Amino acid sequence: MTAPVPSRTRRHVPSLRAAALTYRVLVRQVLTPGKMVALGGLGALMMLVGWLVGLNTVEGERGAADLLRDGAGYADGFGLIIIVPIVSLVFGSSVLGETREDGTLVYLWLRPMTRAPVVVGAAAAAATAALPLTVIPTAVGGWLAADRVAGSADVALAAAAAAALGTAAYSSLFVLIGLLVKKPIIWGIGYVLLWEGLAVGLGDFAARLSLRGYTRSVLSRVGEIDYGFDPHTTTTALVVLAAVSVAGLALAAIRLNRLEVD
Amino acid sequence: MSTVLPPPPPPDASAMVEVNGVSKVFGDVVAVSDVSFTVRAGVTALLGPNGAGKSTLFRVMCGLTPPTKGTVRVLGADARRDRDVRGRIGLAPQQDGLFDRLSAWEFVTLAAATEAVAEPEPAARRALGIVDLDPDDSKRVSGFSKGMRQRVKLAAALVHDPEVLILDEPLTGLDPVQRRRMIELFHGLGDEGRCVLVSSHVLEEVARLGSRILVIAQGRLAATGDYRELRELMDDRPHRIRISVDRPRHFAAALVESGTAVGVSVGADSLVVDTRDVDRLGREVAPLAQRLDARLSRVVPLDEDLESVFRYLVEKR
Repeated sequence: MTAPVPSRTRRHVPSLRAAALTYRVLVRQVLTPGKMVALGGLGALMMLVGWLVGLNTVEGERGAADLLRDGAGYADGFGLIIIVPIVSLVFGSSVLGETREDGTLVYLWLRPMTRAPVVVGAAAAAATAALPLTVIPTAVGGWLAADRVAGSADVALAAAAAAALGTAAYSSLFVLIGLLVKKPIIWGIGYVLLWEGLAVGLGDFAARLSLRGYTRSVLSRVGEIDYGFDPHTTTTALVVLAAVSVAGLALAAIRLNRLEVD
Repeated sequence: MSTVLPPPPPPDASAMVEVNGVSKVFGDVVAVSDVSFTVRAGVTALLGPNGAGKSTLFRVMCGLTPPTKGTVRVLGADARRDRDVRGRIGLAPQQDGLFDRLSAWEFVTLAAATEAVAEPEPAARRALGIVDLDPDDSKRVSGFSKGMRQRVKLAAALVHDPEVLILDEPLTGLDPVQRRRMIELFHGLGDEGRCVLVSSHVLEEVARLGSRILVIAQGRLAATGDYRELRELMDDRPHRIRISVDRPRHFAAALVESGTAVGVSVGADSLVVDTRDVDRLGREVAPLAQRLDARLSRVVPLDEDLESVFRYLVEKR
């Protein structure tokens, strides 16, 4: 009955292993059928509408450059403004936020592991769940809305890159929000709609403080499409998105360390 | 003999857990108030009614929440700050949450891996065997009964061979056979030199643990001692009995006159008696009713529940 369990031979879990263990369990926890269906449906809607937009384009009425601009504008307006932040919000805020709510965080917290790898593993799990649901609809939707003209594949690639970078940055930010507040979805939607949705229209300074300004810059610069705004340089956009990702993770690790765990 | 409200303990070289003047306040609620004790190897029970502060105290010990005041040392370190000591604690928390998409085998293997066990899979297999769960059962823990989930938590707490085990209401949901086996297990672990802290709100459960007991009520440490000492302490208290009778005033006067009652309050058709000798009262009631030609309809103890015992212990402070 009291046969001793094997003795531990190491005191710490190495950081890479801690991140991998966290990733493995949380990616399974976060990928629930309900979320997949709801967010997959949103992506399907984007692709359907993009297809209808392309379908309704009257041949010869608009030039290829106009169609590419339409495709990029659609990828931005639906994909980068709605799909990317919302999908990232759902997975990012819940990946650790739900463990906090349901009491399972203790199984990652009271362990001989440092906090940063746990946060990195969690953010990677959230991004893994989110990426297919953001990148595919944004790229395919943009491509379809450009009516598949020559060059629309470049729009799709640029949209995919912008969506992927945006997903990484938003996921990191929302992992932090999931640890900071209760009901992070409500706070996150408020942020996405009020700040990310409106900030770009409030002038240059406000636009600099929104992630969308940088994701759409990636789309514009990588796709080499001018669709009606003054984009940041590619380097600036990449650096800012990477910096937001890293800062979000660093702050989340600090927050996790100070958290009161149930 | 047990002590009511012991003074803060002196430093104890053999103590595995030291709690010194710990208070924990959540907003306006004082969950734990100025609690001090030390725990050595062996089984120690933390006994108290629901809401007494047991789980909060365990959370403070594990570093899951910092104390508002005071200090806690587990194996000489603060689990909130010291990564090493976290790997030497096994916690089975009270809440039911598990990673529901995993099987018991996956859950306990994950626990072993995150506890830096060199070979997580054999360790998980053995820990599941200890709690009588099948490692080959691929069913997700979301489909488990309360008792099975409880045993999964115990296996996860044991899997890394911790020196300190903190088990929050670990017997809840287990059937009598499993309870007996788990109690044997706790004793075995204690005998191996581990510090096993078990909380419960069930007095009989704690009696079967046969261990040192810390009684906590309303966030305060009300008493410490072994079960026998605690019973003696509780037997010192006046018992409160309601006697339903048609001549309550005469009855009350007779009980006070005989010295059986130390306090009486009289109602329309009953009286409430405080007595230090409940056996004597039991022997006297029926003959007294006969002598007074009174119609006795009911005799009910009012304070036999655990809550009132705790209240007594706290008020005696």
